[in-house]
Amino acid sequence: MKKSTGQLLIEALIALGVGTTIVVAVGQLVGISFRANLIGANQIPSSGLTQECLEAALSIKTENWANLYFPQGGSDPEAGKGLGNPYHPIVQSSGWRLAPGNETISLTGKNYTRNLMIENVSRTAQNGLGEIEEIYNQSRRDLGTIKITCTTSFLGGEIKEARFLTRHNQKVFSQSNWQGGPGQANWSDPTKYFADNGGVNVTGTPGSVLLAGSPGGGYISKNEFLTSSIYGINPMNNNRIKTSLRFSAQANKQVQRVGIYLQTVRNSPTYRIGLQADSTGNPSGTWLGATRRGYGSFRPTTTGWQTINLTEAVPLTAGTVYHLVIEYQSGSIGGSRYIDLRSSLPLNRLIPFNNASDQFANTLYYSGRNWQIRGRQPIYYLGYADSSLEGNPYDNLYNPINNNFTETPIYGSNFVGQSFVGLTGTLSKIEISVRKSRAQNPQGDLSVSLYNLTDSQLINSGVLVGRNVVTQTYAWYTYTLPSPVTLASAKTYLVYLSSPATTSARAYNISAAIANTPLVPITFLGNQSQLAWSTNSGLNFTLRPEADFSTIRLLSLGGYVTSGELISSSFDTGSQSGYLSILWTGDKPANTDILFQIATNDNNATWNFLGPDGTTSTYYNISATAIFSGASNHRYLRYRLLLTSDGQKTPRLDEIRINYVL
Amino acid sequence: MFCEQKKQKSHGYSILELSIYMALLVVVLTLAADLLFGFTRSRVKIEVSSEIQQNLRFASEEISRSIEQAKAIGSISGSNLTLTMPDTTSDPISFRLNNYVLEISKAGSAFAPLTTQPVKVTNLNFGAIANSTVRSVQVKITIESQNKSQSNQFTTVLRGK
Repeated sequence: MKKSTGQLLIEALIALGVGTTIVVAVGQLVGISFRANLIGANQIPSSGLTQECLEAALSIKTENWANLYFPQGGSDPEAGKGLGNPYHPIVQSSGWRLAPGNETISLTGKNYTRNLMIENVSRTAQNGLGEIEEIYNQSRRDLGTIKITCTTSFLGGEIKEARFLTRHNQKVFSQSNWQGGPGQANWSDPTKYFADNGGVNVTGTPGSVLLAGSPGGGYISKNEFLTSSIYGINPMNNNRIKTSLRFSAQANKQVQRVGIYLQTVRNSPTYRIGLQADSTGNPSGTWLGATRRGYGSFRPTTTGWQTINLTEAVPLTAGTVYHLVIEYQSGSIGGSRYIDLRSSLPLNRLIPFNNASDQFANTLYYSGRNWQIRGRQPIYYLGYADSSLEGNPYDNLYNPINNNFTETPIYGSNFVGQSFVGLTGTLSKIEISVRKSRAQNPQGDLSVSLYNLTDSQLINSGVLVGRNVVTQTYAWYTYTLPSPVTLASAKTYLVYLSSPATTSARAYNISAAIANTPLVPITFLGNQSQLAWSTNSGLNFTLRPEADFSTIRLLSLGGYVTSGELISSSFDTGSQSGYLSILWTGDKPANTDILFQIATNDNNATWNFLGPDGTTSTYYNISATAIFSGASNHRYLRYRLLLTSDGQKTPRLDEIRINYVL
Repeated sequence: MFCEQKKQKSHGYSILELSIYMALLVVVLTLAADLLFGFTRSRVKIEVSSEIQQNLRFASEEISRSIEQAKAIGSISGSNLTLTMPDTTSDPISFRLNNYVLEISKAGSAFAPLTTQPVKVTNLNFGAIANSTVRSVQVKITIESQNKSQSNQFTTVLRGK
């Protein structure tokens, strides 16, 4: 009792400490509660603004996909996208649009910053099929889906929400009947089309497109490798410039050496030449070969053919597209130190030896920034390990009458033709492409003669084209033999042209091409066919294996034309649609092909037909191919169908389908 | 004698102890009183904010949901909006501002309040962003109570068919 007389000071201090701790704790709780309330107060308007941003994106997508998919205009699906390109929604012309950058919105005295990001999306399969991938892969880009992320930030936090927007309205355009014929500019009758440029048959097999002609015949032989002029591809006068000769390999063989024709050589530096694979029409940039050394070096001193051995052999696969690439290696280069490779016109897209189609043949030129198609026939050869050759050996025109490099005139006593040996079949028609050299008509008609050179016997002769009919541009004319001639493989035949009444001033012109002697095996039919001419009215003929008459066809009864073309009506998709893939069904026998190009626009007037790489020189030749992305976001569509054949058989198109999304 | 003196010293506090104790007590009581007032003030603020937020959230969600389900805008002007609904049991839905109260009417029934007293809807604005392809309504709303206010802004695309 005596001890409990009041508290000690230390007890009071402890009580005070405990009390202070409680006070601080309660204060903190109140602070947290107040702060939570403050954040909650910001969350409602932030959520509202984020939701408005996403709804604006939905509106833009619904109104016009292109405004969202190409936020900066143009047709590059990668441009203006990604997290480094913020946008914000604005109201314009009674609709939502995108404007670049962030925006600041003030609500009840508080500022909110809002932006919208657009990202491309890829899927696990091509053509918009499969699941969306976590990591974007450009090669499997889905043209019909994008990811939108809207973010609204405020002092102390942010609201971020993402949404995938899809052009869900996927549709198919299909045509499987063309019997209605041409003349329909705009799509309404599903059996009609806009135009055929000759060579197609839409009624022979109902519901299919075939080449014109009939079964049972075809070409016995033909050379359509017209050479009308020669050009340099482009001077390689700085170290960034490259040149490519693109071709489809004809054989499964190993290339040991390559040959090119130099149009110009000026104090040349050293260049490198080699083989590269194709990457969407352009060289891949990587040399082929087991150790990537499928190239060689050369420093030419003269124009003409240049042969270069490769450091290591490069195996080629028949039917695959390759590039013979030439680029600067070392030495001084400039305006007076360069080379230029030769090419020829027109672009025949054929292999001269047998006229096999090579739709990928072309010349390309790299300016230092990008590859450009030159649209000219490449002049090159490949030397295989088995000593065989492949390529286009014709390096110039050849005029045997005047022995120079111009077109060949036919007049007076100057007869020109082509010899053949080893041919079999029943010859019914002879077709030759010629022109008149002046506006005035020649004085006489142009005759064609079939001559048995082995037995010195004229088989038949007649008028190929009348003096009043022939035009000044090259055109094909047909002479039908009065009765078919059965050819014997052991005999040498000669088909020649003559016009004795015509003078040199109004001569008929034909085109003949010449190659270097070692390359004769890959000229037209090799040694089996030669250019023949007479300067003494046919008393005797000179034959030259290095040269060939450029445009001559020998046909048996029946058969098919070698190419036919059809342009569809304009299909109106109703909006700036995205075009996904092209598919077709039909039949492609050996040496025939079914090729498509697609043109789209918004004015239903300007038709620029393009292939899968976006150029006019390529074709969709495999069904279920993705359509060139630049074709998308246009309203109107037309397709161009090209059927090709060697004349023996015809390809058959039964149905074409184009997948698109609104 | 010595023992008696020791006992006398242990009785009560010394004047110094008492003074220190009193001073500490005053400090503690002052802090406690301040805390009590602060806590009460904060609680009132939080309650007011919560009231505003609840009303703002509920009103925004109700308007947004109605616009999303609507198939057409019947009429739109300032704080009045009438929506054409696909479902006849709720067609039309109208919103209006009546004496600082946001009200809703469904299928021609009498207007009923969407916001509760004592909060006041001091601003309500409906704006149509519509063309022939897509229609949306932009909504701006401000709710106030006891000198505190909060706003929201959102847009909803009409999806009804």
